[in-house]
Formats: sequence, structure tokens, C-alpha cells
Amino acid sequence: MSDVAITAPAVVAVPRRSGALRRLFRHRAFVIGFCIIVLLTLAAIFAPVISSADPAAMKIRFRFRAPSQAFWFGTDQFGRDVFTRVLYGARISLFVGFSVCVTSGLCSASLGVIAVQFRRIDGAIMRLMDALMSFPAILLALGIAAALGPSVSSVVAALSVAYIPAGVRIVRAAGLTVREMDYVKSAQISGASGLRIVTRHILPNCLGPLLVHLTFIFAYAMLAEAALSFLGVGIQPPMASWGNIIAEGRDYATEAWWVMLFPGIAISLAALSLNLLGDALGDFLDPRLKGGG
Amino acid sequence: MIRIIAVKLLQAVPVILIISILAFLLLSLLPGDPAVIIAGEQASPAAIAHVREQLGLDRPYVEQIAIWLFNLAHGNFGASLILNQSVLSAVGERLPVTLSLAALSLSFTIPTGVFLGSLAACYRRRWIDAAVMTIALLGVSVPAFWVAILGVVLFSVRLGWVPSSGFVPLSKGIGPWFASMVLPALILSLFQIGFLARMTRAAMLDVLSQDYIRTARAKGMSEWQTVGKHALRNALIMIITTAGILLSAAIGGSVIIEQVFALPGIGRMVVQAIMARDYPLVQGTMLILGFAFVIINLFADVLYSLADPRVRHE
Repeated sequence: MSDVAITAPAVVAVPRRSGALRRLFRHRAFVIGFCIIVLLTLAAIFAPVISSADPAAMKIRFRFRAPSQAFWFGTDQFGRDVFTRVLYGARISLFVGFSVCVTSGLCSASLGVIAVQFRRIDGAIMRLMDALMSFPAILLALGIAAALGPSVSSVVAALSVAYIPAGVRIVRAAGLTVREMDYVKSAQISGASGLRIVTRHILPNCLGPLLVHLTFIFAYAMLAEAALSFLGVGIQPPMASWGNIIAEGRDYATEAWWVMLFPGIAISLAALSLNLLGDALGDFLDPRLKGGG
Repeated sequence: MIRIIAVKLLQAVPVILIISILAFLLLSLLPGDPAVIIAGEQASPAAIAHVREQLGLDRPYVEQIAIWLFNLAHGNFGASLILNQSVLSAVGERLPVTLSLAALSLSFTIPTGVFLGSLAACYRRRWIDAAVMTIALLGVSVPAFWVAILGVVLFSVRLGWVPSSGFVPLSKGIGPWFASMVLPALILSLFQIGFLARMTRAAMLDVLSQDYIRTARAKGMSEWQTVGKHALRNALIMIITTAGILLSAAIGGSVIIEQVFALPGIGRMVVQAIMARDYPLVQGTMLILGFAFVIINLFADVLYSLADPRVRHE
């Protein structure tokens, strides 16, 4: 009996899924967001191919050159090529965003499922999440990053922790709803183990909302990384990150506006594309919410 | 009503306790010996021992937590290492700057956000709706500090409309105070208007599809009255739930905005404390902010049940 309950939806889901992907690619916001983020990722991966310059190479005699054919985005106070630095900055920003996504996603999925499955410690977990959530994420991350010291890994750790509580709430809410469904109850009655119920029923049903949430987290994490680096507790120079290029360019913003203009546009584009993706995925998984209404 | 407040207060107690312990653990996150890190690499063994003793780091862990909680219960949030001041007085000194920034920005955000959100809901799927939703999308995509720097370059340096940085206290007159705060507050609110407009739009769309709105229209009430009197009032209840988030976000956002405009608020103090390795100040400030956020959320919850009788009788 449990076999029927488990395999039936899977059989239906396979043909539906391929059609779903096609429908998703007909969503304009999804396509725009998808194209931008793929282009940015490719630019980050192939940074050494796209630009032959060294992001850290200082050529004082070329300092503060305005954007031109030779220097697409101009040069900074050390004569470094801003275009190359923005390209290499993409690596850091996308890496931080993606790592935070994966880390906080895994942690919130596990904690959320534990809260759903082991009702006794649910209260304790949720109070801890309430405590973490009472801080705006950027402040919490600032405190943790400050304690861990400035480095890429501490930024990832700080932001992951900061975004865990929201994810746990989402997984827990979805999990609690699924748990009450008849097919989960019948699986329970027919003797399916707790592990089987979690992996076969609860987790798959939490994945949709979590995926939408993580798309937004990707965007927030990149913005927060830039903010932390700007405040000086994130990625440290000479390593280029979009945030610290802006921080360094800030002092010369009046005369050499290009140094801080282009990395800002890059962050905005990246975050915009992920927000578009998240909105589209949300619409798609819950059509009732179409258009935010 | 009193019961609701009591229950909410009781729920806040464990959260406050957890925040206190988390703030304590913040110092133990430091890689290596906190005493060495705080005193500095070149400090003499005597200086390190002094810091260790001063912070009670030589005692057992459990005892440290007990002392920490005991001090907190007595309103002692620790003392700054560099400011020669207790954390509480340091925060108290800078609180007016941060709060006035948050308050001024909210005074821009709330009317604009509610207005734009209602407009978008009334003209759903028209260009106004699209424009408002685009503003909302940009608000969560563009980095605030970047726009702040661009704002300084444009309005202070190029156009010279407002001073580029620095804070003028309210006691020096409303005009100069406003001039020093208006640009940071506007930029801060720019990033919240979108969020509030989106919330308002969703709430308004929900209300506008109700039967009593159709009745109001059917009995010949003007559109202005239907939307203003019936729809907006009911939507406001849902909008109030975002009040806590808005205020917390305004304080959180001011950390970064203060840095750009060199406003001597709490955010700037925390960042300076981090740079100076003044960890007790960071720890104490985070803790006070944590308490403040718990109280803000509590207040928003109570406000919500005050505004909506249905919540009260649940």
C-alpha cells in the first residue's frame, strides 16, 4: 500500500516536469534573469580568457584613466584595470552567494526537518531561530564576521548563519503541512520508517519553497557581501570583490566616478537577475500568487 | 488584550535569554585567545594577563556565563576598551542619531509606500503597477551604500544642495539638522518604499476582491470613497504587521548609511569598534540592539492585535 502511495505521484510527475521546464522558459522574467546570471557566471569563469590583464597589476603611470578602448571601465588609483577587477570580483561575489545558498540551504533543510520530525525539540530550535531572526541579517552577519576576522570563509559563514532562520521557518511550515496529509499518514501506518518519510515525502515537498527562498538568498548574500566588504569586515584588498572595489573607489568618486560605478552596476545586475528568477519560480510553483496578488 | 500582551512577553523571555548567551559566545568565536587578540599581538604578557583578568577570561566557562548574565540583569552591559565609557552610555550617546535617521526615513517611507502600493493595486496590470513593481524590484537589487555614494557625489559635491557628511544635532536648529539628515534618510527610505509598496499592493488586492467592496461599489459609492474608506482601512491591518520589519530594517540599514555619511550613530560606532578590536563594545552593542529588536517585534505584535479584533479573539 505504501508503495502505491509513493510511486503514484512519481509516475505522473515525470512527463509533467519536462513540460514544466518548457513553461518556465516561456516566462519572460525567468528568461531575462536566467540569461543575465548565466552570462555573469561565464564571465567569472572565463575571466582570464576575457581579459589578459592582471587584476592586481599596478601601473601608476596609467592611474585614473577614464573609460576608453584600452581600459573599458577605466583604471583606479593604482592604475589597475577596473574591467579586469570587476571580472575577478564576479568570481568572489558569485562564489560567496552560491556558498551561502548551499550552506544555509543545507542547514535550514536539516534543522527544519528535525523540528518537524522531533516535536520535542521543535520549541528549542524555533526559539533559537527567533533569537537569530530578531537581528536584521546584515547586523548579525556584521557581528559574526567581525568575530571570525575578515576572510572569504568567514563572510560565507556569517551570512549563512544570518540566513538560516528564515529558511528553517519555510521548511518547517511546509513540512508541518505535508505531515498532516493523508498519504504521509498512510505511509506511517503501513510502517514506513521515519527516515523514509522524511526523504520520500517531507523533503521533496519542502524543496519548492526552499528553492525559491534560496534564489533570493543568493541575491541578498551578494548584496550583503558587498556591504560587509564596503564596511571593511568582508573581503580584504588586494583581492577584488565588487564591494571593496566600490569602497576603494569611494574616496575618488567625484573625479574618477568609473571606479565605483561599474562594480555597482555589476552587483545590481546580478542581484536583479536572481530576484527575477526567484519571482518567476515563486509564480510558477504557486500560481495563486501570480503577479504578487 | 492584557492576556495577549502577557503571553507575548512570556514568549520573549527565552528569546532574550538566548540572545544574551549568543552575545556572550560571540567573543569565543575569535580565533585564538581573546585576551591576546584584544590586547594586540605585541602586548606584554602582563598586559595580556590584565585584559584576561579584566574580562574574567581566566575563570571557568560556566562561571563566565553566570557572571555575564548576572551583570546583564543589573543593567551592566560591559565597558568599552577604547572609549573609556560603559557600553550603555556609549550606545545612549549615539542612539539619537540612529533613531532620528530611522524615524525621518520612515516618515518618508510609510506615506509614499502605502500610496504607491494602493495605486498599483487600483491600476493593476497598467503601467503604474509595472512602474511600482519595478521600483520594488530595484529596491532589493541595488546596493544601498552604492546609491548613497552616488547621491553624495550628485547632490552634495556637484549640486551643493546639502552638506556631504557630518551630523548637526536637533538642538542646533531644525533647518541645519534636517539638511544633514535629509539625504541619508531619503536614500534609506528609497530601499524600503519598494518593500512596503509590494506589501500594500498585495494587501489591497486581497481586500479589493472582497464582497463588501463590490457592495460598496454597487450602492453607488464613489471609487475614491470605496478605496479610501473600505479597502485601505482593512488593508492597513495587514500593513501594520510589517511595521516591526520596517523599523528593524531601517535601523539595520542605517548601519551602512551612517558609514557613508559619517553620521556618529550606533552603526558607525560598531564598525569603528570592530576595526579597533574593541570586542566588549561590539558584544554589548549587539546585545542592546538585540533586546531593542525583540521589543520592537513585541510592540508590532501588540499593535496588530489592537488594530484587528479578529486576532484578539483568536
